[in-house]
Amino acid sequence: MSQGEIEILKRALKRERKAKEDAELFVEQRIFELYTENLSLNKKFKSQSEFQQILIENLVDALFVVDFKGNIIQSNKEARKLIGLNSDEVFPQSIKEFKSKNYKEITSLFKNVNFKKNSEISLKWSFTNRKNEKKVVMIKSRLLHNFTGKAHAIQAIVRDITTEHQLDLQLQQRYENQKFEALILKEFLVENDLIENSWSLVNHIARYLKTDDCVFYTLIDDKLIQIAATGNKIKYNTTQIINKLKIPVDQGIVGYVARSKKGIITKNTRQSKVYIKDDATRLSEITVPIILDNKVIGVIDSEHPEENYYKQEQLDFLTNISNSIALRVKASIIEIEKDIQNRELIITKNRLELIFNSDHNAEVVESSDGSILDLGNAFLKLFNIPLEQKKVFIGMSCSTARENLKSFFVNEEQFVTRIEELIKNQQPILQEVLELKDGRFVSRDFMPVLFNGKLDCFVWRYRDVTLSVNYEKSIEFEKSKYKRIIDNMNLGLLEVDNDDNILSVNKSLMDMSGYSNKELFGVKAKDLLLADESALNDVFKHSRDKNKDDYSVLFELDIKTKDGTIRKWLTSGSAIQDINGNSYGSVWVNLDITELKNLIEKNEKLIENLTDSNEELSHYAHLVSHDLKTPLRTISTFINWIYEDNVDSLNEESINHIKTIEDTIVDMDKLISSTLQFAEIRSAEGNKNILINLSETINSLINNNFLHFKNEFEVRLPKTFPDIEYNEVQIKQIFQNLIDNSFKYRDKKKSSYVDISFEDKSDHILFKIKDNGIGIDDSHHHMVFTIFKKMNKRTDSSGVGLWIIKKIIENAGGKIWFESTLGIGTTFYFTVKK
Amino acid sequence: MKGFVFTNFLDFVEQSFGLEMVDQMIANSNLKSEGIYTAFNSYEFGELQSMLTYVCSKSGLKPEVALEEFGKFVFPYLIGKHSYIIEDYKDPIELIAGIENHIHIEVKKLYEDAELPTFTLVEKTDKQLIIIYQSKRGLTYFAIGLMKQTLKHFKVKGIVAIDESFNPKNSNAVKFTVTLED
Repeated sequence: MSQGEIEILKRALKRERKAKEDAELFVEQRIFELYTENLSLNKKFKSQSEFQQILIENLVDALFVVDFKGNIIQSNKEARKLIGLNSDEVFPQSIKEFKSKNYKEITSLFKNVNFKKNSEISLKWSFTNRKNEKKVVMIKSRLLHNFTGKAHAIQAIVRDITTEHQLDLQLQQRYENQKFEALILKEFLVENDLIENSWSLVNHIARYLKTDDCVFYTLIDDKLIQIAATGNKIKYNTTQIINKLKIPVDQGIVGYVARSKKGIITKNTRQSKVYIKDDATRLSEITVPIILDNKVIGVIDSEHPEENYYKQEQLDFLTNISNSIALRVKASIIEIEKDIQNRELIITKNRLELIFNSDHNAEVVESSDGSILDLGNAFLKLFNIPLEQKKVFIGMSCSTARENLKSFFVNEEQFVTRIEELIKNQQPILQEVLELKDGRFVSRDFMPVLFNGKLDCFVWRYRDVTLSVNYEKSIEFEKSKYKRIIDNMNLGLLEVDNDDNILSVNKSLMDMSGYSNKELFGVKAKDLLLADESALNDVFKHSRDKNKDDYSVLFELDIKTKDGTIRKWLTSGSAIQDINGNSYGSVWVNLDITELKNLIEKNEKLIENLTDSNEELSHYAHLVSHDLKTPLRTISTFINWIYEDNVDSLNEESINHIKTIEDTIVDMDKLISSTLQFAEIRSAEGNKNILINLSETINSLINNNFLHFKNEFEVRLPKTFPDIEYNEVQIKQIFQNLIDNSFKYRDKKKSSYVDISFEDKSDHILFKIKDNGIGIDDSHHHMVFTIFKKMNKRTDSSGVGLWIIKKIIENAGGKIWFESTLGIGTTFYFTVKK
Repeated sequence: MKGFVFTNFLDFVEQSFGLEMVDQMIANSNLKSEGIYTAFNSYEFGELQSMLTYVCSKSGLKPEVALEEFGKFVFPYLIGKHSYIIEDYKDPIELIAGIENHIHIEVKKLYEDAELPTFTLVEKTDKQLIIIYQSKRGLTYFAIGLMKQTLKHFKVKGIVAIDESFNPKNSNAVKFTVTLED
């Protein structure tokens, strides 16, 4: 170690020593300071604790210090007194030595206390101490902490406030009494309605007595009647008393009190012989009479379920109250007696007022001396007068009011004069309708009101009837409109009641019958109008057979008009009903069909005549053609004979002439046959249509006529034919003619055919007969269906065939036409109605 | 300033630079106390400044670094002597946050005349603590050293930083952010 280092260490050591000395000095000084401080603290503490002990002993309040285990650490003289210790008794060491009730109460009292740091808690507690003294105390307590700051005990300073408490209670009771008395008296004396007052009275008293039962009786007609009650006696939410007792004055405790005129407390109703059980049995009862001039006028009665509940001071209080209200009750009893009548009067009055002020009836009451007594709101509204002005009108002279109001009416003067007239007559007049200038209509009722036989007032009632007037007007308009229609139509209308008396007719019926409205009204319709009364019997018999109230029939009747002529009427009748659905008569609609009838008769005759002449004609034609044929046959025979006898001597020319004659005769014969056929169309009309199997008919036709030509003329048929309803002869004629035509005019250069087909149309069947014959020249088309026209000279054709079948087809409601091209062929079409 | 700072400072210089440095420092710093310090007494702050200035000039250390190292050095001394104060703390954030309202109160019980800095809590979460440090003396880095050593004591990694953006009215105030690493 160098000298330098040693020097450094020396210096360091020196510093450390000096520092150690400094430190020792510092510690010594501190120790001394602490010692002296401790001494003075000790002194202070001793004197303080002594002082504290003295203070505690002399405290006016009891002091307890109790640790958390319940040990009583500290107490004072007052504490001994409070818990009721005798001077020789030792102070309990723990609160567990207290009466168990007190111990429990006090522990539970403190269990719930929440001590905050440094705060003091105040509690009120009442208990009975060892000497059985009732004590009420105020406890102020706080936590005590030890040196380490931990709470270790509760300090309680207990002040005995028993006396103050009792005084307080008394004071409170007195205050309560006064408050109740003031309250009751105030309501009772200020308000007018005794009934109302009694309700609040019983409620106040019940509250005062801390019970839920109190009944107030008044003495009316020697009976105590329950006027008001509390609790169970009241129907929920009403002021109606359930089982309203009426007690005779000599019954029950209430009756007893009413008789004795002295308030009593019944301690136990079980021991009372007179107790009347009301809604429930209660053991205590307090009963006070209300007396005026030494007469009982009412009773206040209250009950309580507990035995021995009521106290003398409560009786005194009730007696006080009853004295105070007696006069008021007496006055009110008279009112109560009137009340029942009054109430009815009020109800009636209210009802009337309601009607009076309703919006519908605008009423004005006018006094007998002509001033307005009252008027309804609706009246003001009706004349657009603000409701606030009602006051102005009341008391106003009615004539002034009328002058003011008349400008509302279309007929101003009549409004005033009619009123004067009504007042003069004093007869009730209802529903006079007046028109206002603004287009409204009002109806007016006038009613004089008599009282004891003397005129008391008038009631004017106005109603806005614009709607109903307008309604009636429009009904009237509709009615007249229909009346015009009914009057102007050609049908005669007749309304009769159930006894056939005419109720109304229209103009047409008057015209038709020749009678006037007056002549018809009320007369029995059948007596007046019917030419043959027996016919009507049928009518009525008929109608009565049907549904009595709802029938409708149609008849032709012979009617005798006023001038005696007989006319035919077509008559239809039906029952009519009133709005309730009851049949009250019938309406008959009549049409004069006399002219029509005549016309029909004429027509019928004409047709008959025509038929006759037709038949004659047909007969004649038949006859002529038949008669013509006979000479023709004779001519033919003789010409033939001439020819045969002279055939060798006749020259060529003569032979030709004879041939011509023979040909002409054949033509002539054909002609006559055709004429005969034509005549037969008509007679065939009578033959009835039958269902025809067309297939069969046409096949037999072809087999009979065309079978041996089948190599040169083919007939093509469809597989089936429809069944049609037709005259059998005629349908044969149609097909025969058409097929014949095709055969006759076939083109021999071709292999000829006729093709028959049909089409089923909606309402008819279309037949087609098509051939490939020579065809018809356009210039001849118009002649095809013409009688006796032939397009070429042929002896096997009469020229009548097509004309005849055209007639047949058209007669049957069908049509026939054709299409043809020269050299190509012809197609005939015809239709048959289904 | 409390004597324990001075006694510790001498120990710190001796341990860091050797007894010779302590000897020279005392001889050259013109100390009123002549370098004799006890923990109980108080001495002028200027003496510490003089000694620090001397050490820094001799060693070339920056005063901030020297102060921070000194703070770390003092920490075991503080907790070793007063372990009852900090034994309740389980993590550094709680401890630093408790300086103002707990530790300083305990300090005042022992040293009534101690002049203590204030630590005002701005924000505290499980992982971060923001406080405003205010002291009459410029011992900010001494405090940083103490706080860093606190983290070390609890074996927790973290950063103690000065919030440069903090611009207080009082120029003595500094805002520290102590952030623990996950």
